[in-house]
Amino acid sequence: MSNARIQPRPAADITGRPDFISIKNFGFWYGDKKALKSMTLDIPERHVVAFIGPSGCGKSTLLRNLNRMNDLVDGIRHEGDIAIKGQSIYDPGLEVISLRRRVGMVFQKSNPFPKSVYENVVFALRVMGVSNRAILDEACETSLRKAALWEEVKDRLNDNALGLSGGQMQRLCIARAIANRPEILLMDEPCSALDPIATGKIEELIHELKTQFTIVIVTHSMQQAARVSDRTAFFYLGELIEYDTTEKIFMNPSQAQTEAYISGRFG
Amino acid sequence: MQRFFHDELRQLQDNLVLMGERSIDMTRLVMQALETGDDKLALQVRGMDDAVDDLEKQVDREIMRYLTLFGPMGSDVRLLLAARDIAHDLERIADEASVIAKRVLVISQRGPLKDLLHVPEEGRIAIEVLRLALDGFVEGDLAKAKLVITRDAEIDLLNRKNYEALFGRSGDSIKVSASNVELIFISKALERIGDHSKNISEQVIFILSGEDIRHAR
Repeated sequence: MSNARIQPRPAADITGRPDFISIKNFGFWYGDKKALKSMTLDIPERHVVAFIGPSGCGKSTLLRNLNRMNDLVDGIRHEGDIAIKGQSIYDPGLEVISLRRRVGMVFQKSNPFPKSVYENVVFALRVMGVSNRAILDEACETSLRKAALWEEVKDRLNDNALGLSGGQMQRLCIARAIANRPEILLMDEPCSALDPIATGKIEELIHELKTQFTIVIVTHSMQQAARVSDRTAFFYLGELIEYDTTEKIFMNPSQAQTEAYISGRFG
Repeated sequence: MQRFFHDELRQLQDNLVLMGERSIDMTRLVMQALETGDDKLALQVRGMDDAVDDLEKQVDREIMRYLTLFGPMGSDVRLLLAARDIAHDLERIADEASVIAKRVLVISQRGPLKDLLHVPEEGRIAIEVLRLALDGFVEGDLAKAKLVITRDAEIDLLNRKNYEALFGRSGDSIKVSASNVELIFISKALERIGDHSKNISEQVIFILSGEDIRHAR
């Protein structure tokens, strides 16, 4: 038996690019309302970063800016910049569609299409014009395996996806996002509608997926943030209060507001 | 369902076992040093203490991290609470072994003692009891944990016999050498090792059954 068996916390061991996603002096408005005050943070490659904070703190707004989902809202504007691997997501030369291909999204409520399991997974590939059955089959199996769903659905790929359980549907949505070969996965409260067992499966999946993807997750569950993330950002009233390793945030945060929030003494 | 963070709990248990093995090694080696008058061995034991101190701090960090991040429940909570006490007892055992080593060196400087009284036997039983306590933890064996509590009395008895052999039953009768006094301190340190082993077993019983038998009256 050796001391060397104890591995350091992955968060402290950034092997990928430390500024994979670089958010610089970023502020954001819905009309006249400033939803995000100027904030700066870097998200390292192949890490899980959790955004936490009370409702209305801006965590989902920031998440939805990472693939410019907020562009669909009228009257929005921003200041500062967000860059992925050094390239601004607001670069006029960058197509929003290609950005969203690189930055997949999983929503709070699973939203499979009323199609077969198979067609759900390969949907984006078909939209991109892929019709070769072997390629689609391979993408389907690979994505479902990565989403830890293959064993459960391999014999009913042609069944309607709406017949799956809630947890399976959410993993199917993750498989659908993965099939697009993104570099980043955004997850907005992915477990809020799931029971503890299905939540556990999604959390295990997140732990597996971070070896290949950079994951940003918004969650109201501090326990979930603590369990799955390497870094945590705490937001309050549109302001980034503190951003650090998850261990630091939950064991010894620097800011009194963070301490109050994580210990339930807020408000 | 096995979760990814359960590995950290196993690592924590491994570190406790590692602390236990080192504490046993230190106790075994220091008794060998006493019985053979081997100063080098005594010095070696003195040098082993820091590693156990470091392991205790590491175990404490791991406990705090697990409690904070992974929301343990049920037997996992009991394990984590007990682990802190077990780590502390193991660190104290290593300290006692280190203190014995210091006294072995003092005795050695004054010339070897012809009569080590019941101390070698006390040492052998202290090591057996410590091994039993550690096995009880590793194997989750309630019977072994309970046996430690019974066998600790054997160590207490030998410690008392050592004291009476030198000072008489009333404690004021016989003139003893400075080395004899060192030997009595060694006997007392072994008795403390027995107490720490007993504490460990009480924690093992708490982990396994949820029953807190400390300070039983």
